[in-house]
Amino acid sequence: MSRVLLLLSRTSYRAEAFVAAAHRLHVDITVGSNHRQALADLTPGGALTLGVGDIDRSVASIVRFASDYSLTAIVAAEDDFAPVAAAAMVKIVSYHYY
Amino acid sequence: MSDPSKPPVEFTNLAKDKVLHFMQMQGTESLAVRVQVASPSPLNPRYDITMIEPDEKCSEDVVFDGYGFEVVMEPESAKLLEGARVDWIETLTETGFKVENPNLAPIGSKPLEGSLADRVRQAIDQFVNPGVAQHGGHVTLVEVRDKIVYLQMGGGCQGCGMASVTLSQGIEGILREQVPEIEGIQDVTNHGDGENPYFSASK
Repeated sequence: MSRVLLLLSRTSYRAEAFVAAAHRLHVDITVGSNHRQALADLTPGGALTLGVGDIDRSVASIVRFASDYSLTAIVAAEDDFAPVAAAAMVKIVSYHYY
Repeated sequence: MSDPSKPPVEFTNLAKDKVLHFMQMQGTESLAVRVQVASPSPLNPRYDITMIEPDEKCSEDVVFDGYGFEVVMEPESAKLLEGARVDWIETLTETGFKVENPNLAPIGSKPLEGSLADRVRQAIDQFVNPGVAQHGGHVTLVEVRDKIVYLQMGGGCQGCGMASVTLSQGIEGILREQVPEIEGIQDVTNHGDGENPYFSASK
């Protein structure tokens, strides 16, 4: 099954809609957020904590994560996360294809 | 203690021999053993087992004398220790008395039993709530109907923007793993209510 990294802010009002959409599409999701997820320890691969406002650190965390869990796509639910999603995807694609 | 001839705490032969050996080393056979629950935390229950002089007993203590020495417990510890077993272990990493206590089994170590609803409730208590409690939240089972689990989220989870993520990414996976018969999970929380929701109820 494909795995999508969904980047969400803790205070997002879009979380429910994005999670529901992922389920409808039958894709596994990992939720990347600026806060540690409840139950993250019990659900390996289900959550990823990212640095707030630190694009380089967030990208590095995602690339590390992607070496354990293959990611098909990275989707930023909020505009704030769009640069992280784009930069991380470029790194991951570069790593696999060049 | 319903049966005074039955030890409230069972000492294995190895543990009993160790106690008697320590007493001999002390040069006295009038010592007693106090067994105490130092921390009843289900995360990491801790016990104290110490040699005491006879005059260190209190009148309220529960005392059992059937092993060649007296086992002394405070009433509160005696309640928590009923049915417990004290063993002596020697391994590469640890040596000492080990208490196996079914009343204070660490979280995640108790087998789930009973009806479907009972097992779901136990899984919530053992796996889910200790995790969400770190975020000030809690989860309550409302009902299991037609193998669908209906849950209510409270505390920090109620109205949290990530409640749906916690439910689908955390709670659902845990409950499906622990109680495979369940076919679905529904959150019936009113997330617009509560003390401090991120979302306010729509008007």
